Amino acid sequence: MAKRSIVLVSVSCLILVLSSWVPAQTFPEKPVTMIVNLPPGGLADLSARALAEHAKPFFPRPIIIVNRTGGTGTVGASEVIVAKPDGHTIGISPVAPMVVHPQRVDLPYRTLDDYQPIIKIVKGVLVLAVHSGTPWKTMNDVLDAAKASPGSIGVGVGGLASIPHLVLETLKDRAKVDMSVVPFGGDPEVTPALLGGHVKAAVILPLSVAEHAQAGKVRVLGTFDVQRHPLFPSVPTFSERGYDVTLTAYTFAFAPRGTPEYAIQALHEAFKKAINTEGFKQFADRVGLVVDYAGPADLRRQLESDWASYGQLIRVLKLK
Amino acid sequence: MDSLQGLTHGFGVALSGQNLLACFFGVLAGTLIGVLPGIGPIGGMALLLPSTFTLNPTTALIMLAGIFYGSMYGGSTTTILVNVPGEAASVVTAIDGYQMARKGRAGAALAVSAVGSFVAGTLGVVALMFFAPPLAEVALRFGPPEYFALALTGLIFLSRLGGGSAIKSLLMIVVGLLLASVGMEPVSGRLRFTLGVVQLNQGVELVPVAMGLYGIGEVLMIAERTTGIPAMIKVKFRELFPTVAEWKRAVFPMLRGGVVGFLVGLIPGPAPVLSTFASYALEKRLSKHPEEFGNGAIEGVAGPESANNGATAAAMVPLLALGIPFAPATAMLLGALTVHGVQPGPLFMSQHPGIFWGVVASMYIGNVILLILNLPLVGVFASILRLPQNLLIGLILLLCLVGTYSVNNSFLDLYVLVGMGILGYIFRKLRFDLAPVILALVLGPMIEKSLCQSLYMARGDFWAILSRPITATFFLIALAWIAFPFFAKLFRGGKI
Repeated sequence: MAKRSIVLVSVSCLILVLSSWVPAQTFPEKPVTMIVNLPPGGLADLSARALAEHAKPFFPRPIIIVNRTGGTGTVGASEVIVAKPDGHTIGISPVAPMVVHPQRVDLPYRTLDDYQPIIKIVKGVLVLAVHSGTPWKTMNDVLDAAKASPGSIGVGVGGLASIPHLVLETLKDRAKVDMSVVPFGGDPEVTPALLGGHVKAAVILPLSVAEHAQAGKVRVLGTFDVQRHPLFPSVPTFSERGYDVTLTAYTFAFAPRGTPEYAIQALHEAFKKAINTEGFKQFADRVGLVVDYAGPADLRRQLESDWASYGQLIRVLKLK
Repeated sequence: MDSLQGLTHGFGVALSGQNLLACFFGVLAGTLIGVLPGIGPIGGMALLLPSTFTLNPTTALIMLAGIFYGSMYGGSTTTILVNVPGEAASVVTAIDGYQMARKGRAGAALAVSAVGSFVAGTLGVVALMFFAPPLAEVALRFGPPEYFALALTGLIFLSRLGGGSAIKSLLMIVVGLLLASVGMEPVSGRLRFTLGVVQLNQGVELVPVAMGLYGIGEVLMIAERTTGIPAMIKVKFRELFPTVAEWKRAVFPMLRGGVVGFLVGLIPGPAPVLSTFASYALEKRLSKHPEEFGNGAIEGVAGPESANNGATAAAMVPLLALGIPFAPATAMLLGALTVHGVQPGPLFMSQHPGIFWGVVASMYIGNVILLILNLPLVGVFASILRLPQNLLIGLILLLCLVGTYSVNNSFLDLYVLVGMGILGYIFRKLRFDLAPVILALVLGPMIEKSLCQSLYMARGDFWAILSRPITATFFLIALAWIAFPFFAKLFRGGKI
């Protein structure tokens, strides 16, 4: 009896060891396809390409980048969600298509359980910029003007229910002011509208206005983050002036639901090493992004908290 | 820096061995991408983007820009030969270019298209060099209300391109606008007419619609009358190039096309497509023989083919002078520069004169290389038409299917292609003009988006939009255009 149980235990141990060991050996079996849900040349695409490039020394197989664009990122994300969950198809996406859009429109993914976070890569901090023809020199000038005549200031954002829009709404709520939202199709449309004075202000990525701020065409008056942005060290953050708005537009990698843990781990390890290379940090500096690491568990916690806060904004603003 | 001094400096940069090679490689890749229907400059540039990470920014930009403007050269090859518009900017060429080919003048059409591209491309670079900053300032005066007025006026003006019944054109516009409304609504992101198919979230793509309506539709027409029909007219080699009379007719359309293309090209969005429609409409109006348009008028090829190259050069203006991409292709160029830590903007020309003037100079060189590359190819391509008709049909089908699939790797696009092919066949049978469908599909999203944005800007006040000077001018012109035929008839004493 005792003998039999020893045999049983050792056999089960062997099976356990084998089952956890064999598959880990076989990932990756082939090149990994990394689906980017936004067009080539944009910041999400460039981040994905830089990530794949710098992960080369740490990952045994090639990483192939495929752009599947459209539907503000939901088409490419859906393609990843329905892919075979073996770790060989993964996605790179900014936060909005993964956390905001599934709460607004009907998509193949409806909850955070429909995909597995792998790693958070970079964050795009947003700033409030105003046209140089306006009299506003500080953050408080704008907020006072908005208080004095509610709704009169048109603020350009990258799209309805985009992260810049939700950041603006949060600011309006925290500062108890009213400004009008003017939604565009991303920063490349917001910048000319701001420069031409068609909107007086914008919530926008630093890189989209850095050159124009240097040339004196726009003024950057506030940063939405806990710390000041390296491109604008003299510009205060909203939180240091008492308005707690620190939502950022971060980009992360994810896999379809049911992807084996060893594949997630292998990808996470390689990507973590990649974003810590000098080359990747240099890339992020140049494009005005900030390297922002979080592992699968921490990323999942952040996604959950963002899911809740964005969901509440969507309900309050009736953006559904 | 003085322009000419800058240009001399630029040629010094562009003529270095490495940059010259990059320029040649770029325009060669561009030509190939242009000739192959489907895969456009954006796809080609995306493929080569990572390889430019190791180059210096000037070389990278020279190569990628070469792909961009190079792809506009060969773009109409399949359009002229077999009625398959590989890019949206070639759709207008299908009207007269294909008719020329059927009359045995394919070589002439291709040659005029190559020379026109060169003329307009070079004119465009000259304008870019001297006027980029002031032109960019003008472009900034256009906000959403101006785009709305412009796009709506454009739709009204250009929809009657093929002549014929106004009601039929209007119906075709409705078809195009309906197709344009599929997918995510451009401002709010709500889904429309997607029937639960996720791939439709991105809307109906332009390439499968154009290839289906024209290419597949044409195949069905040929298949129908194939019995007893002689093969395409054989082209003798000495007849490949345009006659003196043809050159004379083509010169002014090329120049006008270049100017129209450049001006339209300063608008964000689908400028190359719009520029070809605008140039065609202009040539038809100015022509002494408007009845020839639609039956193989060389002006109808020379104008639009030049216009799309002018538009490509103009697309570099907001990119280099403001650092703002107005089109997906220039967004790629911007991306390539940003990863090198170079951010184009108002200070770009003074801070990075080497890159700016180097690229401008390389565009002169690139256009010359493109002309030398493309003219000998005319004979090669024209000889395709010597194939027997049954083989040619297979070839056209293959081009359409592979070309469509290559854009997005999407099976849905193939269904759209086939569906549009059948629709194209029916429309031809009923003598409907196909161009308004494409025009409405291009302009529909632009009209909708800019109207929504204008209303957000004006907080719902329509009058605030109409009373902006540029907007009001556009609308007055459009009104006059609509009202003119009625008054003309009234004055002649006829019935309305």
